Amino acid sequence: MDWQSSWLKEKQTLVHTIIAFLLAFILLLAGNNVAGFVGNVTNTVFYYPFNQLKSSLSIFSSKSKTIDDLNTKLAELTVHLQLYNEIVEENKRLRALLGFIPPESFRIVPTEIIGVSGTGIPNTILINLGASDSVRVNQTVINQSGLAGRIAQVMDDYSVVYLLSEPRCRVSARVSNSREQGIIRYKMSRGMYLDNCPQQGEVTVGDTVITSGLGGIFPEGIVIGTIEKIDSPEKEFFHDITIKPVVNFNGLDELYVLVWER
Amino acid sequence: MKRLIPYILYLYLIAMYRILLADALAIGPVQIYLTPLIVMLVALNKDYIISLWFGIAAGLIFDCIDPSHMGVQMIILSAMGIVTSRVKERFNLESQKSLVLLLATGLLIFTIPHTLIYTTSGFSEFGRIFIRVVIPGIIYSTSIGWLYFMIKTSRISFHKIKELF
Repeated sequence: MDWQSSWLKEKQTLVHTIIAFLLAFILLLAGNNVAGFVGNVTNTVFYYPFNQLKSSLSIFSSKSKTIDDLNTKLAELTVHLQLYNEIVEENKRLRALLGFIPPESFRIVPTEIIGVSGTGIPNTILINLGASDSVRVNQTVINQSGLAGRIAQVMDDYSVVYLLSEPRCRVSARVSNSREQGIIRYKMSRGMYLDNCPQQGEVTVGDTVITSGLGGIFPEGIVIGTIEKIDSPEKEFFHDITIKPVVNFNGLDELYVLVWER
Repeated sequence: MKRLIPYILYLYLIAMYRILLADALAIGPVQIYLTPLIVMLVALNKDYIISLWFGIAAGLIFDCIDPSHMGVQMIILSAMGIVTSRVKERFNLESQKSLVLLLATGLLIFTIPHTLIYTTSGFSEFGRIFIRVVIPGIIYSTSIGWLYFMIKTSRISFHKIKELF
């Protein structure tokens, strides 16, 4: 045994070199399973903490950018809100001056569509707000483009909305420029149209049609659509006005209910 | 076990460099060849057996990101370690120029097989990559090694830099 240990001591360098290279060659020639296992263990011990740190830094950096973007947006919206508040105040003053009764205030409640029905074009939808969310029949439903419809039926947690594409949903409207009034109706056969608009009135293609607020259901000034076509048949008292709605009923995504605060 | 701690820290430094610092310290496509640089610096300061095993360990760290080449860098880096250690024993490497030259030569020998193995675009791209990426990388890495020698021999120190200002 003595001669063996003394030989090992003398040839220590050689023994280490052989073992080290043997180990490297075994790993080089071993299958993917062995190499993968050794790689995984080494990765976990040496790289894992830095990988975690890198992903945390990356998340922090992206969140920091998002916060910067949101701060910019907030500043922008704050300015817009101030302008809006000034306009509201001015509107109140002007209304008071003209002797108008101020409209009831409302809050906008976002909602999600949970069901759609209709043939060809959706005309009735189910939303996830109900009586428990202060939703009531005939409250107005809008999206970012304009008027979408009204609440037709209310359950505890759900409500049925008649879209403007539902023949039973009629809206008292007026042409924004000429202030001519009429009723917005919808028929499957001819689409949306402005009814009861006398031929004496001045209306032109491209005019915006808004809610008039006269029906007592919809608040005044919500955009419904634009005039697409005007026919003025002889011997008829009213124009035949086709309306192009601003809301795409096939692509409804975000909706809001105007919940009146009485 | 206590003797192993510095080497384990060097290995963590290699891992940290590869994950966090490589891109940050890169100048365009030119990166520091930190792993062979550390292997050579360890070999210049320690004996043959430590150089050998540190080369094996550094190679394992290097290879584990791509297990399909597991073992290749272990062989290359341990060979670098023992050759550097032998050169240090056989030649007089007192001057900094000789040490820097040894680093540059070692890095050049390391990068040739490394580039051949890991260049996926084939041999035709080798020349272009070698001139545009590898040679500047060797110069960059050798400069880091030279900086290390300057600090080690106190030619550059905090006090000297402070005095400049």
